Amino acid sequence: MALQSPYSADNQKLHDLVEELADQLCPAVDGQFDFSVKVSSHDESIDKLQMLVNLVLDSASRAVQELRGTKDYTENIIRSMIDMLLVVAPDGNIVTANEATCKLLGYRHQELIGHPASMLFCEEDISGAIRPQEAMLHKPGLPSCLAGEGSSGNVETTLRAKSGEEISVLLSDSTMLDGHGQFGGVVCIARDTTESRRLQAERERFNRVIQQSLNEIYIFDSETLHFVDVNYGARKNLGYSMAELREMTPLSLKPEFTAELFAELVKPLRSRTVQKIQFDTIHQRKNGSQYPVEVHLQLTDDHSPMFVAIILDIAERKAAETLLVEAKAVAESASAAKSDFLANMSHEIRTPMTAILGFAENMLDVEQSDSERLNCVHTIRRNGEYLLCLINDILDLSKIEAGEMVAECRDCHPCRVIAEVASLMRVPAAAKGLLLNIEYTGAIPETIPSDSTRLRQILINLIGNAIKFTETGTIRLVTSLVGSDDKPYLQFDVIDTGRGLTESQANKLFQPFMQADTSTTRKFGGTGLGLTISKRFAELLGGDVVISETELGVGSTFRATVATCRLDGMRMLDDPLSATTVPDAPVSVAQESQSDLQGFRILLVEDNRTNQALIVGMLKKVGADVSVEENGRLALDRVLASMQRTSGGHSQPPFDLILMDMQMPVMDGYKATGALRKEGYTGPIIALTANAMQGDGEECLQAGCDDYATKPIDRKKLIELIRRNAQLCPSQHGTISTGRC
Amino acid sequence: MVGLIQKLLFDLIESSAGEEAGREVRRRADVPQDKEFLIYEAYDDAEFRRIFASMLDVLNLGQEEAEEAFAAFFLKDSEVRWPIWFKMAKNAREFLLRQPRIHNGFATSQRDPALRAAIDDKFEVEDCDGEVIVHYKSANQLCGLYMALARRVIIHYGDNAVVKEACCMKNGAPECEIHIL
Ligand code: HEM
Repeated sequence: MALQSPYSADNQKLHDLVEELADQLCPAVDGQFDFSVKVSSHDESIDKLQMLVNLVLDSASRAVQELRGTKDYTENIIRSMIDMLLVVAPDGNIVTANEATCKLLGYRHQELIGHPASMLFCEEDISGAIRPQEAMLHKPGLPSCLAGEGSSGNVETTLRAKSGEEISVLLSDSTMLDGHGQFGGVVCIARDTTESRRLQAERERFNRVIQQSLNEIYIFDSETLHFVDVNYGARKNLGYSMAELREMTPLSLKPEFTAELFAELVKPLRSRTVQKIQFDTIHQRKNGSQYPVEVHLQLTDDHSPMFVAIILDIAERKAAETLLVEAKAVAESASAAKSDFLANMSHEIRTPMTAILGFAENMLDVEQSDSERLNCVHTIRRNGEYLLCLINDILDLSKIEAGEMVAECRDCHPCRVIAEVASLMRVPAAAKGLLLNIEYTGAIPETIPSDSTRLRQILINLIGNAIKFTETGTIRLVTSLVGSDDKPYLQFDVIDTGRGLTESQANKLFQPFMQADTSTTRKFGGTGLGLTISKRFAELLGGDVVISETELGVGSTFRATVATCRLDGMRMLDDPLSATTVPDAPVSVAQESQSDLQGFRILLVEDNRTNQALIVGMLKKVGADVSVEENGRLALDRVLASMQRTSGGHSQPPFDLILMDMQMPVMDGYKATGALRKEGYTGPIIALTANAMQGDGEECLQAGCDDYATKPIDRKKLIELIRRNAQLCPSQHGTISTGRC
Repeated sequence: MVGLIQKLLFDLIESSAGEEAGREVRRRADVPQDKEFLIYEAYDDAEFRRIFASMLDVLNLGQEEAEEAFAAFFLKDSEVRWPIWFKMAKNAREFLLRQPRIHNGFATSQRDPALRAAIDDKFEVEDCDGEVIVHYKSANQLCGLYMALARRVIIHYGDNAVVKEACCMKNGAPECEIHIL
């Protein structure tokens, strides 16, 4: 039934239209605005109203749509966040939690929204991280870390997952104000740092390893070449700080590198034709020292390329390589020298050998006259003697080279040695009409710890050479003490007025078998080993033999030095020349041989008849009085018997000297000598041994002998040896003096 | 085109040249003599263009003269019909900034999205440091009308501003750009 209307018909119509409009507007109650109203009024006012209503609806609908869009957008952002987002209301309850939060903490969305945020925070853990104003601004219901104002920045803290597991996070929170500017809650964003901490730890570990690596690692800019990073190991080795290195480029470490050279070197890296290059170079430390390195260089290919160099110190390897090369060279030159030596030696031996065999062959010729035979004998003898000398020298040298030759270190009286040498060498000097002058410059120690035998050999050799190569004039031996207090030397200059040497001759002189020129051997004789041996002996005595001066046609000075030890407290001879008795005055060879051992009583202990006859003959020739025993036993008995006869009395010992063969039947020389010494026999005993090796002589000396002579016996040397031993100890056995034939 | 325009065009023709002129225009424009244009209804744009062109012929007016005359007539009508909109704006600038929203309001009762779009989005305004820049895009090419109306609005508020067209669709531009400063 229609309502009773108070309106007129026109008004009624208007009223109905307004009703209809109002009815059409009702859906807006639900917040729905996406519709329009439409009535057919033909009334402009109603139409105007209708239009405006539609305008409002349209605006509302647009606004709602926009809002919805914004909301979706925001939610999308929050949902797609990897970080956790939590919004906590002032009452401490969670109002917003994104999916990352749910996922990480293991809660469902509903389990978080409306629940207290405190359940997620491990308060005790956060205590260190809360902001200082927290206590003042504490908002009831909020976790303390969230109760401050403003933003806390980033705080490392721990959240508790639903499972109870604690999760490390980096939390940043900021206060949210509501529409009225009032505290509206806290917005928290938290990032799970478990993984990043693990990565960090990994990075730190890696970095530590790199830093401590003994290999050097450089990272430098690909354009400016300035160092960006250099590991600790490298900085320590180089001696530069990182700050200093940042101002430097690797070129500053490479004394031999230029920028152009480097650019050329890295071209293939820049063009990416190779991934890595390797080269050896030298690096220089801050202190200037240098070391060889092997460089492995790479150019990284990310957006800002860097050079990465790994540097290996190859000093040891290089040293080993050098050592190897040197060792090889030494070995090669040694073996070359050895084969040269052998070639020379065999030549040297063959020459006299050929002569001996040739002349022996001649002697078999029945046609030969006596004088021709005698000539042959002389030649054979000369060559035999030369051969013996040569063999002795070769043996000496090979012992030196093999390191078997050792110098003795006993009390050596240099002046005495000089006097002996002078007395010995004056003979050949005089034979050539030369003078041999002995001179001293300054005071000389009375004794030095050294080896008299070797010193004697050196001087004899140098003076012998001087005589050999000098035709007229004087040979001088000038002795002086030189060097520092710490390292004093005795210096012996043998100065001749001979032919002198050219530089190349001088250079070759100390090599075995090298005389100034090969023709000299023939002319001047000698084995060519003497200087080499002398030099080696001098080296054994802590010194050297050098040519200190030489001028062709004017003369040469050969200088031998011998180390003395420190001379503190040592007795010095201010006038050494007069302090030593030198058996003086040049004597003729004939004179010497006749009178040398005149009246000497010698006991020869020797089992071999031939040797007995040979030696007895030699000694008798120089006037010695020789008795012979066949073995040690007989000799011992004889000496002891005669000693008993003279005991208590002051008569002379039975013999001035005993020559003792060491290898004998019944009782050998060692035992006999030992027994004689044991029984108190003090006279000189000279051993005769067939063995040329050094150790044999030593054994003889140890057995109690004063000296030894090596078979085959050289007449002159034996006589000199006897003379020396008997003369130095005229009637009693005293200072041990060594020497050899 | 919303019927308000056509209705006011015929009002102008009839009030200035008599009812016969109105009928003549309808004839020439192929508009039924009894067709009434409701001011909130949308009608065919092509029909509007025929009416406008016929009006020029019948009243023997140039395009600009016609636009000028219509603008004066239209604004006088609007001041009576929509007094609040004029009151809501303190000056011409504020009125012109709101003008596109007024125009879009006429489209809100249109259910057909194509028709609605034909009314909507013809105008876009920017407020650049006090200068109003209008972007106008319409097949009806009534930028002259816009400028005439704008000048009327400026007169209405007693303001002192200049209206200039920076570029025009009639010269091949994708849209007309009108500056009011
Ligand atoms: C209260 C004031 C106004 C009202 C109610 C009004 C209303 C309208 C309506 C209903 C249309 C037809 C729209 C269509 O169907 O596309 C129209 C068109 C137009 N109006 Fe207004 N208008 C007003 C003020 C203005 C002013 C101030 C200007 C210029 C400054 C203006 C410029 C135009 C133009 C250029 C068109 C033609 C649009 C086209 O079809 O290309 N109007 N107006």
